[in-house]
Amino acid sequence: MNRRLAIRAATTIGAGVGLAVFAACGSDRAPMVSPLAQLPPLALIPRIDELKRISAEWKQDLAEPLRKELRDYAEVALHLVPADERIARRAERALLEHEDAPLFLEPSLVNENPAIRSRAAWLLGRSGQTVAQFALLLRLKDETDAACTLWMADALHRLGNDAGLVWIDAAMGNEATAQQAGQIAVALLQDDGATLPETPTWDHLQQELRTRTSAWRRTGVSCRDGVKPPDAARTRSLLAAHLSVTQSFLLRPIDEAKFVLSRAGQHGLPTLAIALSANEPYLRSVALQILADLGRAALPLCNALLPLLGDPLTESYAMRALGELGCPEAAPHLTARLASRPTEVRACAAGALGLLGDPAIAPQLLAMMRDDTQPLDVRVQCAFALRMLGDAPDAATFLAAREQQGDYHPQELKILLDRIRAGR
Amino acid sequence: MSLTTRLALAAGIVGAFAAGIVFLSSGTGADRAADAPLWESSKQCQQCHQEAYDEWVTSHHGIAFTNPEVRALSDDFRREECMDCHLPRPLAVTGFGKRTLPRRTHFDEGVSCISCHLGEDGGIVARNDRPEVPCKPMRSEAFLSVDACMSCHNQHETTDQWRASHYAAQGIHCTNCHMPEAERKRPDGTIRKGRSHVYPGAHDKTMLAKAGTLAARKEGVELVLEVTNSGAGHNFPTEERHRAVDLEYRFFRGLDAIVGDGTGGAPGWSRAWRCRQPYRDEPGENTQLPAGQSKEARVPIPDGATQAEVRMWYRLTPICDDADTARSTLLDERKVALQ
Repeated sequence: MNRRLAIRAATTIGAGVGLAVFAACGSDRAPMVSPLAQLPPLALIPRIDELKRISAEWKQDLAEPLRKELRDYAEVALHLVPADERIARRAERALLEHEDAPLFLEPSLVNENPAIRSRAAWLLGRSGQTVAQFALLLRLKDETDAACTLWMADALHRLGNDAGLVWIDAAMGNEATAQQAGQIAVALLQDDGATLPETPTWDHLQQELRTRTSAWRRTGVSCRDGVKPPDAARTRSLLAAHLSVTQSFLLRPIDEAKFVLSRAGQHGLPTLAIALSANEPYLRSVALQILADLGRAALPLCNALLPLLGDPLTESYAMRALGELGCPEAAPHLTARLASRPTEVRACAAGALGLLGDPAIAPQLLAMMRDDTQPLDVRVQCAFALRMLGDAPDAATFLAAREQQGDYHPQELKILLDRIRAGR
Repeated sequence: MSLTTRLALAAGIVGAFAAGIVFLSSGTGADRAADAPLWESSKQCQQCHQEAYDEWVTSHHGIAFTNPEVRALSDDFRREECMDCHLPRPLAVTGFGKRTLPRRTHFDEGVSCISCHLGEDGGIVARNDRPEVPCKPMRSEAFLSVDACMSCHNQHETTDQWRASHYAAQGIHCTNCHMPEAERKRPDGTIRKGRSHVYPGAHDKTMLAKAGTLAARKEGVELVLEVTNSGAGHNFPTEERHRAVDLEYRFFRGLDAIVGDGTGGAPGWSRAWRCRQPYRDEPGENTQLPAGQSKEARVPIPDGATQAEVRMWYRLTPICDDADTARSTLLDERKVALQ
């Protein structure tokens, strides 16, 4: 390896000196224009320290007497200490009126008693403190109790985050949880002002929830009216704290960052925008993976993503994200990458082009799908893209053949087929 | 422009071209020549390295992304953090010893030949410089170091455990146990030394049995069970929090088994100790056994007991019982006369 490096260094220096002299003579040859040269310049700078600074900007600053008072209210409201009904109601009201209520309720989201976790979620949902949605999201990642999950999803929606509605929808399809999920859905939808029949059916409720979920995924904005946006400084601080650990070795906190930010809708976009220009490779790759999961809700960051097509390390993640965002400006760059050497680049370009929805690319994708010198990873992505662009019977036949012959990774194939069935 | 300047420029240009040709023909550099091999799939390696390929393809590296056990535990990889190590890009992309990034191709290859053997420059790295063979491997110290394993295996702190053990001080590396030497036949029929690509570990009974030693004895009114991490250069068990080593026992009065407390992996058996790191939200402390250390568990002997049976089990998950032979491995057993 050392020998290689020595050769590389010597030849690079030689070439560099030679080329510098060559350039200095003022050659009047026309510059070569490649389609890739039109990418916005890639300017990467250190961002982790900036995120750490942002995460430290917001600090809880409560005087000790007030802290003690709120802690006492929370213990009563959470039923952690016994109290008569009248005192409990007063404590609950006093706590929920205070903007710092989440600080005293959020710790109970990880209480070992599911009833306490559910109660904490219920109280947070009614606190109106929309910044609590991020703590709820984080807990949802590992929550295993069905009732807790439902109350957390309920609270999320009340706090202006519709990412949890899928849990309520799914729980209605499960006999054990359907009744409770249905009751929560009815209450939520009525609070939303939805017009429900006197005895709504499961289908009716699920349809309402799916409409809201779909709008959330498209826009990253809750359909619930009158919800105040979360405090900007605290939101920035919380989300920056999540992203600032992405350079670390252990993957668990990184997965937590992905989970929260990919369900935070538009709230996470300013912080993600910072991460996109990070020279720390894991940070920008995680940001790209989150943006791909956010999909169209992240469309405002389309132009900030384009330069990363020029970064070999994150190029394929950027392509996937651009496709999921539905960024039309990416199309010529993705098309150029259909001829790239690395299989992963060609496959990701094809898949992303299918998501962009321009049928003009179909003939090129069809030719690649039929080209048996292409690896199956590329051909399958071309077929997927063609199916996303339209009926494409040849692509449907090709994918059906993969299913029948079992010559492509079955779980990946299933993910693609499910996506085709679900549509864009 | 003077003649001297022109000559200097011409020399510079010629130098640049020559340097470029040398650069490209050396097959190095991030911008490799367009006709340089692009190493992406283990199938490219199979042509010349059939034996190693055959070992790898069924190994837990080869099945890292398809293994049903992993797919179940990762919720079919909806826990995306698992993908980084179960479907990694080549380690050298981010650097040996650093975290990996996930890829989106070659799904059936899990941790592929390329994951470990691709160098920073896009060429193949190995134990020896072999410019005469098609893949032209170059020796890489980084590839040969524990750092290469660390990229994935320190997710669960296994390489940290090794570094803290006497094995590290003695220079006994991961490969000494997990990639033992193997004989390889060259095309001309001669034999050379290579390394096994089977990677025996938690699914290999011989390997597991070497890792832990079970002892049992009567001391006064107590039965003493003792497990020693006698052969693993890291904790026993190590890696994921699912893994557990259980010490179990049952007593007999004559021929009759004395009913136990039901905590064992089969009716009539009781658990005296479990070595395991709890899940993140699970109460309890990490009882994995560091290299070279022992743990004693003491159990009161019931009145009239004449004999005890003791067993040491390795479990792939903490919730499986003895009958689940796919996930429970009996490592050793002992009988102790009590009267």
